[in-house]
Amino acid sequence: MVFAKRLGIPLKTIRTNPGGQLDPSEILGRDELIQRIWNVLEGRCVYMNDLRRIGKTQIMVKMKAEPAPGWVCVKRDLGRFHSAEEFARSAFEDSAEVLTGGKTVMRKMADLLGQAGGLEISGVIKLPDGSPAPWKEVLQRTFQDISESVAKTNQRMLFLWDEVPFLIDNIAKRQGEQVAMEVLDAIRSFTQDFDKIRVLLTGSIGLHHVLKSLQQKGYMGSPLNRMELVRPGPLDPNDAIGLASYLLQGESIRTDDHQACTQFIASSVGNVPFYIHKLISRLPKSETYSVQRLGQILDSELADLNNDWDLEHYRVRLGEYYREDEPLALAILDAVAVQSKMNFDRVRSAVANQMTVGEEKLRTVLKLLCKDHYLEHSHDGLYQYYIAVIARWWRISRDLKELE
Amino acid sequence: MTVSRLHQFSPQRTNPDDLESILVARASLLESTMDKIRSSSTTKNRYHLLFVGQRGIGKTHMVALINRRVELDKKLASKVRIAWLNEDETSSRFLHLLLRIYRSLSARYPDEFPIQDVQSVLGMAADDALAKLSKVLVQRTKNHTILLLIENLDAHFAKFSVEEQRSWRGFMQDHPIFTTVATAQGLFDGVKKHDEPFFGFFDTHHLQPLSVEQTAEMLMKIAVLQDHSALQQMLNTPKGQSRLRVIHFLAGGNPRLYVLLSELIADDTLDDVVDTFEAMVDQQLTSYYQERLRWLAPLQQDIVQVLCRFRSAVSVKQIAEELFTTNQSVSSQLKELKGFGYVAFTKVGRETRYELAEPLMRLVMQVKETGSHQPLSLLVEFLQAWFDREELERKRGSHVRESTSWRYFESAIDTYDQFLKQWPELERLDAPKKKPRTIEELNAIIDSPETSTDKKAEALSDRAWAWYETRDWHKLVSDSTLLIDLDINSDDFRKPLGVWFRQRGWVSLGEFSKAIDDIPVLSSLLGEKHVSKHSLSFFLAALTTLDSASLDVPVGLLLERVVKLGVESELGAALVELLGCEMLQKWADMIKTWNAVWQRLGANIPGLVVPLRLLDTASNYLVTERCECLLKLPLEERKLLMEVLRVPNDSF
Ligand SMILES: Nc1ncnc2c1ncn2[C@@H]1O[C@H](COP(=O)(O)OP(=O)(O)O)[C@@H](O)[C@H]1O
Ligand SMILES: [Mg+2]
Repeated sequence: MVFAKRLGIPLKTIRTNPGGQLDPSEILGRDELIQRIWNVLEGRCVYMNDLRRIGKTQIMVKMKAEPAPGWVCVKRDLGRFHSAEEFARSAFEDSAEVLTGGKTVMRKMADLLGQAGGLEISGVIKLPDGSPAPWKEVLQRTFQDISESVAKTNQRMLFLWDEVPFLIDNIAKRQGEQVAMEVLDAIRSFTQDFDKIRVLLTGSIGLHHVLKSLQQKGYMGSPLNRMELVRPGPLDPNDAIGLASYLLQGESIRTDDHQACTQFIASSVGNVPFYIHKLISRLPKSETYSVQRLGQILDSELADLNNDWDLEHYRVRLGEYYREDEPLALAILDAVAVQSKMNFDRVRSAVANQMTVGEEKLRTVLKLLCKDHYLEHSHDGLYQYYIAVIARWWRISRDLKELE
Repeated sequence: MTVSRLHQFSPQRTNPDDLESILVARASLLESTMDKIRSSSTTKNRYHLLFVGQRGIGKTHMVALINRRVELDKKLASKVRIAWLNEDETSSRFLHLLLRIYRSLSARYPDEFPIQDVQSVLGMAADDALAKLSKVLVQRTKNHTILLLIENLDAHFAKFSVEEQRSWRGFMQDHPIFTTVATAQGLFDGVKKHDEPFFGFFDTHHLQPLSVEQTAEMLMKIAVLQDHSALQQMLNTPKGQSRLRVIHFLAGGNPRLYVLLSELIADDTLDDVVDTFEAMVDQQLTSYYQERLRWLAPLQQDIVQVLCRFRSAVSVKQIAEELFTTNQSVSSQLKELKGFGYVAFTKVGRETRYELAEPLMRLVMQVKETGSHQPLSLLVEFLQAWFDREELERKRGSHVRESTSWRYFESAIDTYDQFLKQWPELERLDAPKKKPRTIEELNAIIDSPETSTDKKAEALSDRAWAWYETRDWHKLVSDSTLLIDLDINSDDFRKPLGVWFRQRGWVSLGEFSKAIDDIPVLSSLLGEKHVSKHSLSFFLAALTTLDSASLDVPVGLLLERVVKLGVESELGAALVELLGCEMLQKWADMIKTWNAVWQRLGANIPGLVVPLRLLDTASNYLVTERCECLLKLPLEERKLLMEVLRVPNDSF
């Protein structure tokens, strides 16, 4: 133990758990971001969007575990529900559970449901006559009840709703697009009407995908436009290194240079905690690792045609997203992959070697690549991959050599 | 016979203590899994593990041991509730799955999870039942963690719609009561594709095939467990080891196959391993592989069958043409098949060629297809002859290290690996070490009646060295004959050395029959029961000193004798092994004519089919220096040849 301390090796240990559910004490970092989210929530609702597995759900878990003073939280994975009625029921029941006083404070709902209201556990809330309660009304009354209740205790209520796009898609499939649109509108209007209530929405797939397909069916609403968009991104490098370090300890994995190895692990996968967990979970315990060896293992993992990282996805979906601009997007991504950081002029001349393209077009596609989480545009005007491990995979799969 | 009991090693039905005692290779994965289960019982961490591997690789074994270890750990058992689902059932909806989980908990902990709960939801509308059962399960679980043991996760996912998957995943997120240990035969889209709900949710671990050493360890543990002394003994003999290697070469490292095939290793009286092997192919292996084939999607089955038909690695295009379909669809299925461990691939430049990963699968299917056992038995025989190298190593081991005999065997072993390269060293090793003695001095010692037999033997071998160096073949023959006839201990290294000299002399004198007569003599001096590839390779090495025009006669005579003795496979092994010698590689011309002679004269000898194919391919490769030539060989033969020729694995 003493030795460990002297070597600067942390005593905390964590076991690899890529993709699983974490104890809040093992959700590292994110403190500043979470603080920022709470600040935003003072004024408006938040829509959190980023790549899959970047750590959005864990952020919600941490917020729920340690809410900011004055907030009451409910967290729910809405992908479980397939109808607007189920969704409304969960909003009602969840809030009844956390509000001081429970169902007794939900007076508007009690009026609706009568004496036996809500006692029977079922998929949908039933009216005294046994028919299903209209979901919009349930939501409306629930929000009213919450508002009144939290006003008394001088609190506010936050719904942490995960997998909203799944919910909308589920509803569209089972009850039709019309209902799905109504649910979206209801969420928007209620969160606007009740200042004591906020929602933090997120999901595995971007909500804009679902919106797009609804828009094709005539949907005109824009449920997100009053919300603050938050993109959590990877961990801060120091937190990522800390995570790698705790994990190496927790899995009793030996290295020839602890510090260099943790740094390498964190930076090579772009400080994404999921990949840090994953890479370390793939290391057999029999070896002592060096930076070089870790690089080999990561590369062979990425090069394996049958790995479960599915970075291929970033290549495949280009066609769908960019259509006739796919070759340009490819040329840009190839160029940035080998240079690590490039300003606009260098991107332009690298692309010019392969095709003729107007400057405006290039700017547009670059912007889109940033929006779609391929690249990021730093303050100093340099383009680089948003996630380092994608650049690494890109080079491997496209046989490109990194330039110094 | 005890052996048959081994066949019953299906993990669900076996006493868990026995499973524990035969575990190899997976101890550390198992330990870390237990750690995670422990952690999930005391914290809010919930782990979802997925063990991936083909049938028989040891998935159920792991699951059974996890179940067992939790049970035995009193403290852990008090915090964890285990739901071990029946392997053969699958569900198509999350509600059904939840019911199965509840029933399984109820069967194991009837007081904590009363079965009435299940009855109370039956007949309800599905949504209501799900809501109610979810709530009840969470309540009943209290502050326990449920350890969900679920096999064939891939089969579940195949039936679950995306919406049902979302329900399942959402339930786990909202109610973190589950830690999961799941198994699957391969990675499947539901967990590995970016857009699927469960993408990146499971912590996947591939169960790797066992190495030869690990299989040996496992069989030894089984033998000890079952008090099966014949198997224990056999595993300690070179013969047992070489049989094990043959199996490993053909079957890869699938533990279930070893249990099945252990009889082949165990029975010492089993002279005809090949017959027994073929019987097993008929009785068990064929159905085993057919089952594995059936598990695949239809197009995947078709592809595997095409690969069975081809002896060599084939391109996507070839497969697509065979199946009248597009390259694209074949290519994506091949990727899956690779993940499931069915196919291997080699990259040649920009092209990728595919073949079956397990040679045995192809062979078994081929047997079925043609109704002819020929290729299988030939290959097995050849491999059997091939893998007895250990015998010689063991012989070396029986001598004191660095003693002259030890060094002799040491050089002889090197000889197999790099025969001609080692030649000068052999000379140095045994050439007179003290002051070099002149022929006259040696004559005096040899002719004097006072000289002890031992001294005489030493002087004779020294004089033979001298004749060998001056290429005085007549004198070499006569001195080595004297040496062989001396009354010295028969495992004195100078006796085989004598035979080796004499053979060399006869060959140079064109007395091929006599040289061939010496093969069995050498063989018996080396302590072999019958002529092995070792004694044959000494003769072959001598032949390589002849010019190519005069090879026909000795090769013809040798083949005649070999067929008479029934040691075709041994000759084959010797021929292949000789390819590893550096000199042949350097003189690409020589390998060409050497190969031509053997192909011409050995063409009609069935036992030489495999080695001559290897020789021909090697010749092609050495002359052209193009690795692609090697791809014409099926995987198992190619692996062997690449080893002999020291072609690195990543050469393509
Ligand atoms: N802050 C963190 N600290 C440690 N590990 C994390 C953290 N955030 C995410 N992870 C790891 O990444 C995995 C995926 O995170 P998750 O929040 O479920 O991603 P998302 O919701 O964005 O898809 C987790 O199971 C865990 O292994
Ligand atoms: Mg999530």
